[in-house]
Amino acid sequence: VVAPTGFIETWCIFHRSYFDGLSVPYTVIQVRLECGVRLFSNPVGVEARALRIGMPVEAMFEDVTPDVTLLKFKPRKEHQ
Amino acid sequence: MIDALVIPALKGRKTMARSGSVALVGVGHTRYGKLPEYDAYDLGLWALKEALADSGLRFEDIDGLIVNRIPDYQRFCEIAGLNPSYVSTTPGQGRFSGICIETATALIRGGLATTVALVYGNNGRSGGDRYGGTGDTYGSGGGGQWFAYGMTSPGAFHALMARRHMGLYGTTADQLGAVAKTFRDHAALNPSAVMRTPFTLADYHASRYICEPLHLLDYCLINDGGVALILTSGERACDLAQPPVYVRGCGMATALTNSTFPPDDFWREPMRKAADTSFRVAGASRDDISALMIYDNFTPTVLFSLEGFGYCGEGEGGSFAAEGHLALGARYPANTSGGHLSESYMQGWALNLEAVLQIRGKCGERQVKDCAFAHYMAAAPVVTSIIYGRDPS
Repeated sequence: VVAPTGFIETWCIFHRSYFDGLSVPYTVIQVRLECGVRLFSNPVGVEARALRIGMPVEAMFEDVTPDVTLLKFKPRKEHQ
Repeated sequence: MIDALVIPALKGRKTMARSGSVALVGVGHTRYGKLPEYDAYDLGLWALKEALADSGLRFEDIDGLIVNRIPDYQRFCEIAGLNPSYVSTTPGQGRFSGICIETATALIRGGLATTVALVYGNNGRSGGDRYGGTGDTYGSGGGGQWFAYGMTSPGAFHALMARRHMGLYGTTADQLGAVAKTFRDHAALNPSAVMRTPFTLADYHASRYICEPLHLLDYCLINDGGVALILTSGERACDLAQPPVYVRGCGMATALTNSTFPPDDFWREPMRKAADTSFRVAGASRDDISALMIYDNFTPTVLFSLEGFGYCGEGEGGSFAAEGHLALGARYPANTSGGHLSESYMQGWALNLEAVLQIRGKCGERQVKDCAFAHYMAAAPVVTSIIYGRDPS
C-alpha cells in the first residue's frame, strides 16, 4: 500500500500547446510521494501562483473523459 | 627548485608532441539558418569538405568516421567515398558531441584509427523536427506515459529544474536573462551567427513564455547546419596546415537511473566527476582556463554547469552570470560564438569548433586574449568535460 500523500518538488506552466486536447496555459507539477516515488501530474484546487516547493499534496482521481481517469493532486491541509 | 629545473625544459618542447597526445587539426561548418535544399548528409559532407580544406588533409586520409544526427554511416560513406577502418553512427542528442570527441581521442590513442572525422548534419529546421508532443522521445523516451498530463519537451524538463533552482537558491528571471543577453552580445560579433541583434533585459522579459518560467529567449534556436571536426595524433598534427589544438583532458560521467525525472542535484555529482577527471588528465586547473564553452540548450543549464563544473558555488550560478563574469573581457568569457541560444543549434559541435578557433586566435572581434585553454562542458544525463589546450603538455 502506498500512502497517497507527498509534496510538490517543482512545477512549470505550459504556454505553448503541444497536445490538441489540452488548452494552454496549464500547469504540470512534479510530486514526490512519501514513499519516494516521483510522478508528473496536474494540480487541482490551487492557482499556479500559490504553488510552492515543498507544498504538501494528496492524490485524488479526476475523470477527464468518460473513459480516462487521471491521478491528480490537491493541496493537503496539515494537522492543525 | 624543481620548478626552476622543469619549466625551461618544458618550454623547449612546446612544439613537439607528447607521445599519446591527440589534437584537433581541422574544423569546418556550413552556413547556419534555414537551408531547405540540403538534407543531413549534404550538410555533413559540406562541413567535412570545409574541415579537410582547413586541415590540408584529403578524404583518403580519414580512417575513422563517426557521424552524428546523420541517419546512416553507410550511406554517408557511399556519398563521401570513404572506406574508413572504424565507423559508427550516433544518435542526434546534444550530449553526443562530447561523447564523440572523447571516443575519437580514445580511438587514436588505442590505435584503432589515426585520423578521425566527426561529422554532424542537422536539417531539423527544414525537416520540421518537433521537440514536444506525441513524437517527443527526449532522453530515454520514457516520458510518454506523462503526455496525458501535458508533460512533454526538453524545454519543460529544464523549466521544472529552473523553477526548483529558483525556489532553493533564489535564482531570478533577470539572472537567466543575463545569460541570454550575454550570449546574444557575443553573437553580434560573430558573422556566422543566426541571431545577431542585441536585446535588453526588458526585451527578454517581454518575450513570450514557452514553458514558464522559461521565455522564448531562454530556448536554443532551431536551425539547419553542419559541423565537422578532424582529430589525429599529436605527432601527425604538427605536419598539417593549422596549429594543432590539443585535447588535453576528457571526462565523462552519467546519471541515467530515474532520468525521466530531473536530477535532484542538477547533475552536480556527474559534473564534478567528469570535471575532476578532465582537469587531472589535462594537468590544468580552472585558473588556467581562458574561455568556457557551455552546452546551452536552455539558459538554466548554463547556471547548473557553472556550479557543477566548479566555477562557482552551489546555487551561485545565477549571481555569477548576472555579475558579468561570462562576458567577453571578463574572467570567464563563455560561448563567445553566441552558443545554441544565438549562434546556431549545432548540439555542442559548434561550441567545440569555437574552442578550437579561440585557441588558434582566429575569432576576430570576439577573440579572447591569449587563449591557452578552453573548457567545453555539457550538463545532461551523460555529462562530458573536455579541456582544450594550445600546448601538448
